[in-house]
Amino acid sequence: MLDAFLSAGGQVFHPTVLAAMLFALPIGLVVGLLPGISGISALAFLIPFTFGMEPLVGLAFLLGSYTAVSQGGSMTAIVLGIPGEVPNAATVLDGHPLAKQGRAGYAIGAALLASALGGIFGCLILILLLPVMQPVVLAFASPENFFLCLAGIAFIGVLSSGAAVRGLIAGGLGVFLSLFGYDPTEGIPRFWFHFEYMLDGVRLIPLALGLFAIPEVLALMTSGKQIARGDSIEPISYRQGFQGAVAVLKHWGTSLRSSSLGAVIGVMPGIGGVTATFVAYAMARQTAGNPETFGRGRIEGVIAPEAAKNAEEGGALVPTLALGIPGSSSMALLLGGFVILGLQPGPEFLTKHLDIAFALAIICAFGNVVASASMFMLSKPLMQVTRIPGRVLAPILLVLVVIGTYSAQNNSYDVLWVFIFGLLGIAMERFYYSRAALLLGFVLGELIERYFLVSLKAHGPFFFMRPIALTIVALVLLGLLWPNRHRITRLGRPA
Amino acid sequence: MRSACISRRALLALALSCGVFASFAPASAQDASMPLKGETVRIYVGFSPGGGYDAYARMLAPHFEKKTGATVVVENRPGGGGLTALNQLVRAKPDGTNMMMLNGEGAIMAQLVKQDGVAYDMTKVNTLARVAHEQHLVLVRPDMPDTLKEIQAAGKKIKFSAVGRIDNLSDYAAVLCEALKLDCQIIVGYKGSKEAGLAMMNGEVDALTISDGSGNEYAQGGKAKVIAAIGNARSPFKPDVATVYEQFQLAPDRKWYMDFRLSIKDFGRVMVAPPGMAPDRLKYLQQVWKEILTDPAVLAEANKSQRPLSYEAPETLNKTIKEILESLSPDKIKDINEVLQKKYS
Repeated sequence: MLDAFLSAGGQVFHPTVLAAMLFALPIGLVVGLLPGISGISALAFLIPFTFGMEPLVGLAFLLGSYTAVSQGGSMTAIVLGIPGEVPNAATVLDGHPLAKQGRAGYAIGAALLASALGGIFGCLILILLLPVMQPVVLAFASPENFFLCLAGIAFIGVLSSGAAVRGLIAGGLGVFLSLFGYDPTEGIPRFWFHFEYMLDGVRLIPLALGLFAIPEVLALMTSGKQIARGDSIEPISYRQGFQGAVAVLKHWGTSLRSSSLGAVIGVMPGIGGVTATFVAYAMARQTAGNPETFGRGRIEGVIAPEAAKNAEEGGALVPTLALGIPGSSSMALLLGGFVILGLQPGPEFLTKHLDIAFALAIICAFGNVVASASMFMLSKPLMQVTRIPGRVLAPILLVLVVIGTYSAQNNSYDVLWVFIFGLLGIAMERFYYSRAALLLGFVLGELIERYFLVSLKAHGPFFFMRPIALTIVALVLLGLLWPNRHRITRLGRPA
Repeated sequence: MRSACISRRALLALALSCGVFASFAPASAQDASMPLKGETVRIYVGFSPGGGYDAYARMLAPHFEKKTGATVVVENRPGGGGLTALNQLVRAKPDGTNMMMLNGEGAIMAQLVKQDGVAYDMTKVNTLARVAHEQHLVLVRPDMPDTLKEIQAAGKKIKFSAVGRIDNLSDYAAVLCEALKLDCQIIVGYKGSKEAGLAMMNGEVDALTISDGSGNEYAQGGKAKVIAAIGNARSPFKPDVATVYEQFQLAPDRKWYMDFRLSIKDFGRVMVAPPGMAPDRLKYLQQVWKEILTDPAVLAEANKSQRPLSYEAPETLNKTIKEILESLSPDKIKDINEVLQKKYS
């Protein structure tokens, strides 16, 4: 085992492998900075370039670009309030208010270190789990996935600062929107009005970009002012970034909790990054003091989703390598890349290619660090964006949003929907309904329905009588009740 | 007003991006032997990038470019389980610049059971060539009996995992259960075939019918075993595993269901073009695809990337479509619907 690990280290730090990774990083960073164009598109675009490469070189190339994408995505979330990728939407909640206060650098620094540490953590989990991966992945069947998703939805009320009822309404609307199109089990289309596009229901990218990007673009357009406002805006410097990085170390508990959560969610195939980031955010809010100040620029609100997101990708490699079953949609594409390179992940892979599995974990960790460092170099010009007048910035952003939306599925209806959801986003912002809650409800609505129905059919009405499922329920209850423990103990006492 | 202006912008963006890809192609220099030279040809794929259909289309596109002098753009148009892209294809110009790498089995099944959203007629769609087709295997958990005979004799209920009611996974399970009179429950709702495979490995279900490439892979780690091949011949991946037909003497009325499903299997992954194409253009395209798909160099490349090709001529395929879609009586169709969609739910 140690041999495999050392051999992996030797292979990764070979000049060609390093060169492939360093060449791929800038591509990933650019893709990440463009809203709507996801890491999946980056991988799809890059896979043909790996034809003829040595397997490890090709994989370094793919993973290198992929790790960089998420860093880029968090930058636009903070600076512009537009999630570069859907899971980055959670970073908007507190990252963008910080940018508005002229403290974009602070948020960027925190986001970069948190995601680098989260990424390393995810890869550590991967390395630790490699020998015992199979039983871990196999321990999670549909009932466990169902309760994990239910746990996610339980946090919706928490997401909406100080207005739990409004949060629940928004979450409910999200669940409702998830019901359009083919139902996830029997495949019977619902609410499709004999309109072909609606067979697949509401699409995630137009929804996320509409809710978050359009209101932001409109605000910039109508005010014509720059993003960073306020009376005493600090001058742009790397100092802010360093302060942000220090904040991550100061809030090490939040970083660690969020990274663990991200890695666990990553291990489960099919739950995905959006759940990881939002649940981590909600958990940070539950455990930190003064939860009401979240949403107005709390640094923990940036740290939590960023750490969770990058840890999740490390976790998602676990089922991909151990069983050949992708932990996320981007992993599905990566799996395709493996096959092209002549490697077949799956049960046999670990016995035959343990060194490559370790090498991937190292590439993943190393890629995260290098991507964060290079993004840090770019942070100054990025902060500059917050000082560009809105009337100049808004049209550029609008074009990027439209192209990003269109390119997701080559479908012009998506572009129409981004504006429809934009109107919804504007209304929600105006009346203080949480857009994050809606997005989480939407993502989890479909999963909950799917796993509930499958659990019921496969295990019968008592599908929840399973140790891991019950443990998840207990942990969620603990998480929700912990902040209210004093109130609960008071209830028990006579007045 | 606003959306109109935006869609114009989207179109502009699209035009620009297409321009980037197409700008190096010479302006259409029409040549009788190469009628598509200089044209931009779109190959539609009804699924997102990264899947099998996408991979096949991208693997074959450069060869089509080389043979015809056209520029090929592989366009992913996911939606409706591939139906949306086919619906769009039949409305596209039938001049050879639009084609689709289609899940032929799925398209025929959807039309047969009159699935919502079907706006095409497979008897009118122009078939260019079959690109590939796959055998199916029956996999069970390691603690299940070793043969179908023992499972049948035990008479216990067995659970299969599948994605939707009519996809390759649940169809094959349904006709297998119907042919062998097994007590089955087909649990649909898994996100993809990989997740359905995982459900068998973690014990949520007992069995799975899946394409031989994937089935062989799942069986390697000892978390599943292959007990039968579904088809008239054994799978090249598992030559030692007997087919259902070898293991059982089936009564004709029982065998009919499997034969019926296997006849659709021959359709596999197929390259199609919109209806109403001029005969000479159609002939040209069919010839080009035949040359590509039977070229030893292309076959070797395909085998290397584990995407084997198995060409079949359009004439043979057209005959099969007609048989399936036009010669079945309404009662028989109702019966098939019952078996595939309701009986084992």
